[in-house]
Amino acid sequence: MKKKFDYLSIIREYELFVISGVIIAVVILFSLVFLIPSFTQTQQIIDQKSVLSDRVSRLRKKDATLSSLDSDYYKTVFPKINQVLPEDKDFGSLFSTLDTLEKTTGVSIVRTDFQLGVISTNSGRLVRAQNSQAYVVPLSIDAMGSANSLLTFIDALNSLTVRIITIKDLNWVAKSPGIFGLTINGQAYFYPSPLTLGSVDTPLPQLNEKQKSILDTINKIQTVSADEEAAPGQVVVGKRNLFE
Amino acid sequence: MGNHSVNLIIPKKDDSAGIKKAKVIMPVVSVVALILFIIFYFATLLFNNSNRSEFLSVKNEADILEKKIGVQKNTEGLYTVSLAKVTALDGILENSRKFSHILSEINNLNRDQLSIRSAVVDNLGNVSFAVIASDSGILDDFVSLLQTKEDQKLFSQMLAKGIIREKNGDYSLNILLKSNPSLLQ
Repeated sequence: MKKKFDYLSIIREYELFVISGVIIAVVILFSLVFLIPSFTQTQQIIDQKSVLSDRVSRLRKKDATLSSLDSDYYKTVFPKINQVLPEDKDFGSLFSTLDTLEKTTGVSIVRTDFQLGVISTNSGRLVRAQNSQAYVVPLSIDAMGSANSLLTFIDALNSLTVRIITIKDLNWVAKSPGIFGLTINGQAYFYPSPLTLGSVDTPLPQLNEKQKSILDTINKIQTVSADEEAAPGQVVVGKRNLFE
Repeated sequence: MGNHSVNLIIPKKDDSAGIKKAKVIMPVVSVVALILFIIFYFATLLFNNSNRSEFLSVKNEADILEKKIGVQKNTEGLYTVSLAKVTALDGILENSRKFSHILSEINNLNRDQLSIRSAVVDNLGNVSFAVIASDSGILDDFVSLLQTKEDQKLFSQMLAKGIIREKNGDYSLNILLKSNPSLLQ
C-alpha cells in the first residue's frame, strides 16, 4: 500500500516554524499595506507643514505691511509719479512739461527735438537708462532767457516737480547783454508698469529712506483737478450779441 | 516459548544543531516583528491624527490671510508699481548731474572788459568756454583767477587754446578744463 504523505505529522513536527513563519508573513503583508502608507502620510504631513508654516509666515508679514500702508496716500501720489515718470513715451506730456517750465521759470523755449525712434512702446529695441529699469527718450532743447531764469530752468528739469529730464551736455551762449541761449542734449524717460503683480505670497519690497524722500518730494506736486479748471461757461468771453 | 518485549516508544530523533537554533530564533523574531509592527503603526496613527488637526488649522489661517490680502489687491498694486517707479527714478537721479553750480562759476568769471561768450559742459565735468578780453593785462588777471580756482580745487587740467588777437585789439581764446565733481552735484 502506498504511504500517504502525512501533512499533519509534518505540521506537528515543525509547528513552531509554521506559526512563526505565518506571523512573520502577516507582519510583512500588514507592513506593506498599512505601515508604509502610514509612514508616507507622516512624511507628507511633516513636509507640507513646514512649507505651509513658511507660507503662513510670509503671508502674515505681507498682511502686516499692507495693513500699515496708507492707501489714500498712494492713491494720491500714484498719478503724480506717473507725471514725473510716465508709462509710455507720451510726447504730449513732454510738451506740457516744457510749457509749464516756460511759465514758471521765465525762459523761452525756442526749439525742441525729440528722437521718435522706435514708435512702439513695447519694442525690444528700446534703450534702458543706466542703473535704472526706465527707458530713455533722447531729446534736445534750445532755450533763451536771463542767466538766473536759465539756471532755474536747468535745476527744475530733474527736480521731480515735472516730468524728469536729465542733461548729458549743454551749450551756454551769451546772445546779448543779460540774455543767454542754452542748448541742452538730454534724456526724458518712461517706465511701463508691470503687467502682473506676482503671487499672493510674494513679499512686498520695502522703501528705503532715499526712496521715501523721493516719494515725499513728488507728493508735493500740485495737480489741478478737472473740477478746479474753469468750466466753459465760466470763462469770460466777448459780447455774444452785438446789439445788446 | 520465550517472552519478547516490544518497545512501543519510538526513540526520539535528536534535531540537528541548525534546527535547534532555528527553533529558538524564529519564534523570537516573529514576536519581535509583531510587537514592532504594532508599536510603529499606532505611533504613526497617533502622530498623523494629532498633526492633521494642527495642519488643518495652519491651512485655515493661510486661507484667511490669502483672502485678506486679496481684498487689498488694489493697494498692493499701487504700492508695488509706485515703488518700482521710485526705484527707477532713484537710479536715474543717481546718474544725473546738476549743472547750475558749474554754470554759476563760469558766469562769475565775467569781468569788466572780459566776457565769457559761450560755454560747453558735459556730465563728466569736461568744460570748455570761449573768452574775449579787451587787453592782455586783463587776460593775465583772468589766468591768475583761473589758477586761484585751481588752488581751490574747483578746476583742474586747464588748457588754453586758439589765442587770437582780433582786428579791434580784443583777445579771444578757448579754455578747456575739468571741473570738480562737487560742482555737478
